[in-house]
Amino acid sequence: MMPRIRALRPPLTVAVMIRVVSAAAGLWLSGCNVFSPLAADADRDLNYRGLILKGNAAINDEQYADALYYFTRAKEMNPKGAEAYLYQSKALVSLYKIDYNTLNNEFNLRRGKTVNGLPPKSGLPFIDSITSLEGIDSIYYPVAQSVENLEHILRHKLDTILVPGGVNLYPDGDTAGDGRVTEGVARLDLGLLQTIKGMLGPLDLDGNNRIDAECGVNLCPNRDAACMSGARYMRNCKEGLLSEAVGFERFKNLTRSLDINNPSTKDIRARQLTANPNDINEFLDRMSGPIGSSTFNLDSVTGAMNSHNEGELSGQLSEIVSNVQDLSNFLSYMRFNDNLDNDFDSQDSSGKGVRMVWHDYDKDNSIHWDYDDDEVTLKGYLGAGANGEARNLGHPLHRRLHPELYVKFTDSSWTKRKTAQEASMNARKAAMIKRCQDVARTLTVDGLVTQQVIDDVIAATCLTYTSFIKSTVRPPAKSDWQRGTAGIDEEMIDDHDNDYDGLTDEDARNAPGMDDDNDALLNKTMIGADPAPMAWADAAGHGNSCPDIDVTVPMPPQPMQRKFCIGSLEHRIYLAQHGGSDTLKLYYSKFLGEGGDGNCLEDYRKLPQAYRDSARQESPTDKDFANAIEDACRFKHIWIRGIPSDSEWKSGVFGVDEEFPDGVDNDGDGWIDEDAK
Amino acid sequence: MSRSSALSAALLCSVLLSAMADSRAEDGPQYRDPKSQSLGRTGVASSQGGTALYLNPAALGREEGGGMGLSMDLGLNSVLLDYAAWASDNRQYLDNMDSLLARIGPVDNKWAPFSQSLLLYGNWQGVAFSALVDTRYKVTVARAVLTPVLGVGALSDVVLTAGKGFRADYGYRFGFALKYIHRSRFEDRLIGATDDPFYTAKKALENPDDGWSGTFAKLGVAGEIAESSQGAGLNLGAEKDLNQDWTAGLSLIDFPTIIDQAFTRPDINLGLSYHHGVQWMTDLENKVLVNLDWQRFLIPGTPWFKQLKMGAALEGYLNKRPVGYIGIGINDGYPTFGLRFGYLVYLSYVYVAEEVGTYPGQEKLSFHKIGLEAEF
Repeated sequence: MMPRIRALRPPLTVAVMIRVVSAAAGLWLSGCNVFSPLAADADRDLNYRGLILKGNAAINDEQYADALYYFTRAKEMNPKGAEAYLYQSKALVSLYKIDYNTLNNEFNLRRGKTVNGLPPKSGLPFIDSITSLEGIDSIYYPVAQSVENLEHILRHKLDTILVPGGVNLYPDGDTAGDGRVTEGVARLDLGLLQTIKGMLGPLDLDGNNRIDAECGVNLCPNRDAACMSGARYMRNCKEGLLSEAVGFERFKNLTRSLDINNPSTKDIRARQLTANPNDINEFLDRMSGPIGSSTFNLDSVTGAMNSHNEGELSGQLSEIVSNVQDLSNFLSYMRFNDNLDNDFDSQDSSGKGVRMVWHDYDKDNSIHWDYDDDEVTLKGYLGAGANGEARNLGHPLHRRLHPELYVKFTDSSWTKRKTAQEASMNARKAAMIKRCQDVARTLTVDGLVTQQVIDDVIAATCLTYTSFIKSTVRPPAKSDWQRGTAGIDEEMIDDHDNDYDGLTDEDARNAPGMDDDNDALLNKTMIGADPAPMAWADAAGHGNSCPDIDVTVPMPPQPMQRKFCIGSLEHRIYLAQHGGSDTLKLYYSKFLGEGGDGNCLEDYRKLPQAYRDSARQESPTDKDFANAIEDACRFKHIWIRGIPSDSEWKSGVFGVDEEFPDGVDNDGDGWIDEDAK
Repeated sequence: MSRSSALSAALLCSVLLSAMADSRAEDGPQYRDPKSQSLGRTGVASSQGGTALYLNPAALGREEGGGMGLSMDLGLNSVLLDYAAWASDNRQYLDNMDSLLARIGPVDNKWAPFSQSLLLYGNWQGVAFSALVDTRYKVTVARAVLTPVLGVGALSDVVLTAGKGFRADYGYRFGFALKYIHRSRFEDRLIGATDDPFYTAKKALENPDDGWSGTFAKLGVAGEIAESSQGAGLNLGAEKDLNQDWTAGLSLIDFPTIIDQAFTRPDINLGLSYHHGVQWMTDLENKVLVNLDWQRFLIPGTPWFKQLKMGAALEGYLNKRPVGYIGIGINDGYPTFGLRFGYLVYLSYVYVAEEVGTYPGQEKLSFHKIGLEAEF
């Protein structure tokens, strides 16, 4: 029997009809596309424009992962679509919660400011000792990908973009050239993001925009042994799959003390990265590309703002611009000991001059030109305070009083350098002039130093004379300058601009006979003669790679075997525990605000756990032990007591070439093998 | 039409199409009169008077007498109102990136549109002319990746059009319209700190708000930074009365139109209209109008450039003169609604939504349009 269909249907009542009509009217009045539900698979069939629209709707709904999906599809569908690149970047940074304020606050924190109640920090933005690999990747990945996208948009005409400083952006082929995103939209964000990419980029060894525990998987997708032992893989991931992970841990140590207000090679600790100069220089090169490009982009933006009298907007960017400029300038001279004229101050443009050797006999962190001249040319000028520095090579007043010694900015020995045409060179000149004028402003009216003299130095001398000494000038008989060519690797690891050229520690060089780490006990009686290098060797039964104070006393067992070594941190802690500051000051020189005490505390944390546990037992309480460490770190490793009679130190001056190329921090100064030749 | 003429016409069409086949081409003038917009932007087979110049010039062949008219409308959008409220409260933060970014959420990449059109037209014995000013502006504040940028779009056409319609045998009508276009355009896009228009737009947005006029003046900045171009074009049309109640229409709009030495995007429109007199209201002549249009942009390889539109209206006439209508429609899936009342001088309201797809952040563009019209 046929079913009675009519009977199975619900009755079409007025109420049902009203509901149907209401639903239809509701859909119509909602303003939605009433055809959309008719599409079988609207999402799959979306065209490029549809994907952009969907992605933007997802962004407005804060569904960033969905937005990323749509924009990635849009990129694949239309590689010339600039909006797809821009908005993919927006989705990425939103997904990873990176925004302008985060960036700004991170920079401000590293500039010694308190932000949102958080104390100032040293080091690079986003990197702390507790930052995990995943944590840094979550910053780097969206930033690097966004930089790639924005660069792709800017290169819309297959042009090579020339960036001052010798860094060029070459066309990368199929560019996003549909013109839907203007240069002005992309450039500011690109400049900001490049600063982060510049700082973290060297850690991305395989160039896949990730810093992760799978280095080179993009190079060897199958992870087969043959590929991963090949030259290409090994060139990028020397330490295997974990190369980036290991590199990141090292990088944290390298940069933890960096102060971007005042970058110093000592803070960057480049030589703890690797013993290979090429590695470090390559690392710096990879940083300098994005940093240089960032400088260019941010300069363009602030220039445009200023030209439209938008000083308030450009002012908000000025600090970041200044940070990047500092970092850019810093990188241009922060090179490993490669015997080249990295900071452009060599008197021999070939970079093959004989290294300058000097000793800071008067311990003023500067190169005293001529002790005999103080009472001749300089008489009447060397008053109290800052005026007394006028005796030093490179000092602005010294330049004025001894112009015959100095190279002018118009001299060919300055202008002929091949780097003279580069932006970094211009920055170098600017830094030198600024430093000169800053120093000149510290002069006080006293004796022959009149206000007119000070004004002339600022307005004329600093703009005319470099801090570089002419190649024909030789050191006087009684000078800190001992031998070699002035300007070649003259700097010591001391955080000071010894030669008033506007740079701090740009070279950190070593040479035979030098007081490499400024810890020698020099005195004026040694002027004119090289101090004898420290001579010491481990005695039998004292094989601890550091100079023991008294070989008649048995060397303590592990892990305390360095407890009685001259200069060692373990010895300073021992003294602090058992005698306090009063005892320490009899043996060691105190930090006087140089800032190294923070490094000392970090050095303590690097000591073996077994030592720290044993040393703790020598203090009554944890608090006492902590106080002892703080006391110890108020003192440098510099020994001030002369040669102990029964020590392993046999002759010479402490601090002069005391290090052996043995990979051990022999004197506890936190530096390994700074002298290794 | 002889076989050779048909072949020549087909050849001409194919040559024109290949010359215009560029998906990046601009649109020609997109004006629709309020009634057409009420009925889902339909009217290929039902347009009348001077407005037929833009939909189907063949309709001019239907006109026996003459007339003239004026139509003005102003289009507002709820986003514009939201945006105006936001801008009024936050314009002072345009100079502070931190503060602006913290407040940008409600308007981030949401474009505030504004439209305005003015049409003056006249026709006599199948000949018509019109002068049209049709303007759309858009402004937004958006976050690019990290920092705030502005978005501006402008498309303003001044169009002078003249056309003629012809009657032919068997109920056929044919027509053409020639037009001169002066276009001001700033393609919708985000602009940033190295773009000069950024500063022009920023200054305009920073001006204090003094009510509606102030808000519109801010939107007008889009016109200040637009670039102008000129062009000319041709619309073609055909119509046939299938019987007393049914009319079919075909029009080729912007076929071709050249602006600034480049072809605009031509489109073909097919329309079917049902118009039937009824006596639903006493003292008025009533007519039911139902339209079904299909529009296809003639760009090869762009299958999504086609739209289906439909609309229905109930019209009232007194002594052969219109006194009002109420209409609804669906414009490619988006709803439209409109009504108009008056005698010789009319007030109208139209709600129209459409898929624009020319800028990001918005799937549809909807306007509430208030109009003032006069027909003689």
